Amino acid sequence: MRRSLASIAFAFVVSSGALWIANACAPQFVVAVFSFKKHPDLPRTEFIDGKLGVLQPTFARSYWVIAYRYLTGVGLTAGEREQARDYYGDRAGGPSSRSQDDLSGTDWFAKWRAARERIQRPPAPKVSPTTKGQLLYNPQSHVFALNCAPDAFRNALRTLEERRARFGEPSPAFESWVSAQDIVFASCDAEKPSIPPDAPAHAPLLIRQDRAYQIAAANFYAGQNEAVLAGFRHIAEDPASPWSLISRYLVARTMLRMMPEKDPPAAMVSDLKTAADVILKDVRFQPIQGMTLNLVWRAEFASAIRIISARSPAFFRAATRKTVCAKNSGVIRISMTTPSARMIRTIRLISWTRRSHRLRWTNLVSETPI
Amino acid sequence: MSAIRLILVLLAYVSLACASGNPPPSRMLWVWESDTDLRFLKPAEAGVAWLGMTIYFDGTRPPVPEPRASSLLVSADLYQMLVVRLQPDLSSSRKPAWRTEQRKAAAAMILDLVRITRSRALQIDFDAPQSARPFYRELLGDVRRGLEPGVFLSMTALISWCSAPPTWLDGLAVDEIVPMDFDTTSAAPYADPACRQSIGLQRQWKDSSFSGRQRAADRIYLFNYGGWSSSTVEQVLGAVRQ
Repeated sequence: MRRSLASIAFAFVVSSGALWIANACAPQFVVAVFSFKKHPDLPRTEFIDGKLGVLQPTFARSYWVIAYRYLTGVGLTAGEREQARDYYGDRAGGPSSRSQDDLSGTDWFAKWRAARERIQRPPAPKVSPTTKGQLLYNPQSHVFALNCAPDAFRNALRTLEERRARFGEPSPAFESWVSAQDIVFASCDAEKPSIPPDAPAHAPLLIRQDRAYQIAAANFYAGQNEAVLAGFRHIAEDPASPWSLISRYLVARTMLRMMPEKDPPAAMVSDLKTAADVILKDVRFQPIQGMTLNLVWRAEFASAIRIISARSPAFFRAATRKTVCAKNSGVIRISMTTPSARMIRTIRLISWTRRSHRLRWTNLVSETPI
Repeated sequence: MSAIRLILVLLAYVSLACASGNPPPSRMLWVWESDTDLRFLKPAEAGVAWLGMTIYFDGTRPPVPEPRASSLLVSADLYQMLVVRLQPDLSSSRKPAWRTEQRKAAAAMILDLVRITRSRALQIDFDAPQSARPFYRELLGDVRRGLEPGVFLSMTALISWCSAPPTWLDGLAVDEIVPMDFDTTSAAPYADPACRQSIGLQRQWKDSSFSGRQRAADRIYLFNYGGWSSSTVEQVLGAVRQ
């Protein structure tokens, strides 16, 4: 018995050696395989589509949200994947990025342009090949800064399609809307303000409501902040306007934009908080509460980091189990109708994980009453 | 009669001045893509040639512009030259095709940038490989034709381009060629006279090498890899003055 065991051991050693010799036809070197600490491999779109790879505890929380949904069998709908791609789109370097590795976001400017160029009356205006209708040049600092973000073109595209469906093409109402929108976007990269005129008194009510919003938006892109505040405040007080709710948020957004980046005056911070509190404490404003909360966090960014760092990843993972998918809605809903304080903190965590000038993640959770 | 002659002479002078553009001062600081504050710089000391845009080429794709994202603060009366850099997209494995449509698109971007920034002086910076030289030559022609009269057009050059004529630089539609003499220590003048008017140096040149061809140049462009501060500007301009 002992001899047979020894024979087996001997045969194993000899065969292993033979295998090693057989493989030793070329040197084998240690290969370094690098991975990212904060995010999965590029392009991120594979991760968003469910090919999660090896999840790392060091990934940013936004990736955990996606991973958790796949691992619990919920996954992401096409609309949600699109939102997630948009969310990460700016991390590829913005609209003028040359890197093709991770351009996973939807190019809403290109979609808008394609839709606009199909409209014959009025003809589509020319777009600067340098600014691509989005960057504004500051002659004092020589900086080209993003003035009109992708969401602006997404919103315009959807409105265009809705107005065309309602009024038809060609129609005076539709043409009026398109002309005004061209003027709005002209302010994105123009040195001088470009503000559309008031809508004719005989225009349909919806077109007149649109025009008030377009004028305020044009002032926003033109940096005429006082006119912006007045315009959005006026629209916010008109409950019949389809732009009433978002205008209430945009008042706060403009207040943040007016703040100096360094050491904003306490009075300005206080005014923003007051405006935000009105939104956050009223359930009627629930759809804009997530993005408003984010504004407050941006205004108080330093303190926000301290609060977030106290939260544990385990808590966050537990909290995201509450998320469920609403079919075909393109948004992620939180299943709890009466969220706990913990859930509110979770939403804040999600808000924090997104980039400061993007809104999508806060939109994802904004359907939750806070 | 003499008055008419005087007017004709003046007109000829003005037209010559317009043709050659508004020339830069004898000292120019290259300012690349980093936040820079040169408000202390006086017009009599130097001008700035600031990178306003990089255009990337990748295979047959349309060129991608990347306008400046860093701030540059200067006094309004300082001489300012807009610089546009062309380069292959190094993150891509595809070699640029240097096609006609890419050239037209790039020229349109450059002219658009000149219009937006209201620049009166433009420099194109392109380390063109041999295969791209016909593309580059025609691009410079396109840009020159699109510029308003009086805009000064400059180009940088690799030293290897400045060999004895005839070279591919002959007859280019530019007002100035700036060889980038960053590493050589030779004092011998460039074989091509077109390269002797201006010269580009980096801050880290050896003092001993600052002779000969550098001193012969009417105009010196200065580059500093670490960006500019009041002390580095003072140091460099002091060294150039010696």
